[in-house]
Amino acid sequence: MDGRSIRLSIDSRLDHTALAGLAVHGVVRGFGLDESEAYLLELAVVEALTNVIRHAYAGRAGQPVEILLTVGEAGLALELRDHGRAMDPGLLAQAGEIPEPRSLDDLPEGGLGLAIIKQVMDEVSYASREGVNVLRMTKSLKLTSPREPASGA
Amino acid sequence: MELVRRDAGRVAVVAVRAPRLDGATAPQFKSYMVELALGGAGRIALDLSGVDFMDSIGLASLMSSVKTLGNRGEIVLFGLNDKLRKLFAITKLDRGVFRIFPGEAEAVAALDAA
Repeated sequence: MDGRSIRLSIDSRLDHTALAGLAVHGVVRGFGLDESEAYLLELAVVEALTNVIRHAYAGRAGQPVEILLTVGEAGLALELRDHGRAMDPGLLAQAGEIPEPRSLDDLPEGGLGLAIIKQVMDEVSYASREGVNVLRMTKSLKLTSPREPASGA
Repeated sequence: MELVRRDAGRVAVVAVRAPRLDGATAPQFKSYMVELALGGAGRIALDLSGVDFMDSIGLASLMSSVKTLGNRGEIVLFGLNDKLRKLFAITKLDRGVFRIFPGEAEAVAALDAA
């Protein structure tokens, strides 16, 4: 996607995911998205980071997770990179519509993250090559240029 | 994170005072709720008006509280902002698993009638 990008990196700790989430939230708010749309993108980033930390790095802190956020005229792309254990691509293919739980026993114990990501974003893809895992998520959105700071004193 | 319990008749009203119910705060919330449920509280109204952001880990901590409580009671929610309502709608947890009310009065009345 053509556009402007910002690269972020956090340590693989669940209590650090908010940093990246808030950064993405702040950027997309600046590009004209309302609070509700910004929340969904923040949520998608946090869910994706959580999956990397829990599964690719098995909860181990001290590993880097990179986030590349690109904003363009047609929308936005988010790319996460890690060097942990690759995800079974079948998990992404299977995740989708969340079934309506009928009883307590139907409550999902986990795995909600990918389903949320797929519902929030338009396209989600995953590739693992030479030890680098890349999750790419895109969404078509009407973005506006950030307001320039007022000129003058 | 601060969790404040106040009793309204037979209902335990618990205010969650944390801007984010996520991977950083959910473990503390979960152990508080499990203790509350095991301590005999059956009718629990959760005030989420202090929570601005929630993710699937926050949801999972709520669901495990419901499971701990089992058929001995119910957890209802109130005070959700638009973002949290959206999260419950996406995950369909607002259909049958959690009853969601606008405010404390409605939540307590519903539990009293249960």
